[in-house]
Amino acid sequence: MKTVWTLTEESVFSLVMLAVGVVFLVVAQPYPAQSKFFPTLVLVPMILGFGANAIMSAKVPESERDKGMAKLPELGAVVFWVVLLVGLMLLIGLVGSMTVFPLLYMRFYCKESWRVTLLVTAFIAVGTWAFITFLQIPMYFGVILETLGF
Amino acid sequence: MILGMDLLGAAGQALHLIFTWQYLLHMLIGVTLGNIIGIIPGIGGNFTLAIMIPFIFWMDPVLAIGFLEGAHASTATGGAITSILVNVPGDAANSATCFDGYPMTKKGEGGRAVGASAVASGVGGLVGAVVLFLLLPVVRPLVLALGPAEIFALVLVGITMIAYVGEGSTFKALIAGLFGLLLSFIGDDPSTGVIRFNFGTTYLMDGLDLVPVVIGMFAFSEMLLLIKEKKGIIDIQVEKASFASVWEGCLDCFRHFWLLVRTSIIGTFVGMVPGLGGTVASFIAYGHAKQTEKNPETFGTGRVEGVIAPEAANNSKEGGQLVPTIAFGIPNTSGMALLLGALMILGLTPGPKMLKEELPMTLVIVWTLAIANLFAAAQVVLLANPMAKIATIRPSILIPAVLAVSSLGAYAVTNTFGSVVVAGLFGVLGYELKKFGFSRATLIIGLVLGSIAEKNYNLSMLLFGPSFVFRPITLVLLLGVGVLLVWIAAKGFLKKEEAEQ
Repeated sequence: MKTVWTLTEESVFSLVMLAVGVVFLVVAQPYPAQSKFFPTLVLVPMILGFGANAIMSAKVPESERDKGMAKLPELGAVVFWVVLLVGLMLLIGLVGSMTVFPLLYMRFYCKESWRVTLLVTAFIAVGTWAFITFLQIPMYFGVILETLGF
Repeated sequence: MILGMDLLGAAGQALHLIFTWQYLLHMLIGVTLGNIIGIIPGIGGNFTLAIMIPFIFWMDPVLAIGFLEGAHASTATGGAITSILVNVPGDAANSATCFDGYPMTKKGEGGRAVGASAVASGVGGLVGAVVLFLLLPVVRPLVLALGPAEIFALVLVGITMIAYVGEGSTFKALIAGLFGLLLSFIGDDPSTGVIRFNFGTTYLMDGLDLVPVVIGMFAFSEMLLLIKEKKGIIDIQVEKASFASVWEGCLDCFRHFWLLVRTSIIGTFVGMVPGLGGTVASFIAYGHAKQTEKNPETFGTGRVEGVIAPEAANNSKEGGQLVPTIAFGIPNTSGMALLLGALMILGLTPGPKMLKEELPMTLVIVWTLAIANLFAAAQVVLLANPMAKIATIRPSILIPAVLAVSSLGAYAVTNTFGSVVVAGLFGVLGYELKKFGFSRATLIIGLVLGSIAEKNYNLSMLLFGPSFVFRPITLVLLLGVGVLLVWIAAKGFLKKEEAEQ
């Protein structure tokens, strides 16, 4: 079977991890010998490993040449929902985000009925409030309300 | 003899500690959650622990052990229901149960299979707890004789073994393990006082908290993998099981009692081997049943023994897995790494200290393992039908609910927004790692063991200098690591040669 070299999602992921490793290695250099011994011992094979994997995963059968980055939109959707959740928590706080996020996800992405969406959203929002109250977690209201002085 | 008396005394103390309604309530909640999560295909024991750990911060250690260990021990019990009724294993450890469980359902004996799986799971878990209890006096003197040099070498063996026997590519498992080790070095270095890899943030000064990482890796990422599924995880009608047939299955376990005991013991000992989790244990037990029972050719057509064997083994493995975790402080699976992290949060130190100063708490774990498995089995026998319906829950409802609990859990660990960001980042990382076949388990084990290895290395250097590697046990263990690494490399090379041919 004829193979070709192409950029695949896995090779890009390995390159990103390799870059993370290099950053850690550079950051570790000014540390005293004792503090950088173990990190360096781990980082060198890790960087080599991700490098090797980046090369190995870039070699694919010719028939799969165009499939290399085909699933990138899927990752985009995943990152979008994570960023949205974290962003909402930052902006409108714990209870607010736990009300808006399920509503957006269930109604507008999954096309659930309004009845199910509102029922589940209310359940999650009340559950969040109960969790915070009973476990006496300091309530976080989000940047917007805190800026407005609430 | 003295050791045995110590243990019996501690067992009595532990029984006294757990004999409260609060403990039973916490364990029952844990068992129920474990059973429910076990039923939902694709999310297993690690997910259960990941979303439950944030709740233990406010709990008394005894109650927290009942809650967590109860849930972790019962995940495999619930997971059998969907293996049997719809041919979709709730957890990978329940895969072997499909071979005969689903054919039994097709023959109209689904209830009988569910009953047999529940009792086999309960008895399996009980046998695992008994073996764990019996092994404690054997390993205790051994563990107490270990110093920092031996523990350092043992940690290295643990990491290498897990990469070797873990699922998927050994090469990728090793890289993921190395990344986990690297993450464990973030924060304050106790030997020099230097703050490492905090990138200017105060959040990382004390190191990377295990809980948000675990929540990201196992709760967030599992939900992210489900995002593309808009329909139900199981979209077919779930067969109903009558109570009479469930009871018939319970009786089957006593008709095949010795098979049940044998496969439970197999599961316990397989559980002790690093990296071999419930999946391997259940397949080995299934193979044993097929070899030793009459008419092996009829296995796969709906034999109740084909349900009893794997279910007994995948529950009894928990007792075996707890041996290295409690005794040496070295987790041999990702689930045990999470449990070890949870015990540390509770102020317990698995390893020599746990067997010396915290013996009653160790025995609380043993009791919990035994009782929780029986509770879980009773719950499945009584509530098999309503529980089976949980598997049809739509991801559109499951995902926002789980993400809400998970992100709240991450926030509650430190009451800072940084933990939510960490959970989110590791959620995406866990999603990518799983997609490309990198082991998330070795990453977590690396994260737990890295700082233990470094601490014991520094201590050994301080006590013995570089010659610590020549201490007899240390040398043998380090040579073992060397041999394993050479074997891994040779195996990879041979595999490549074979593939090219």
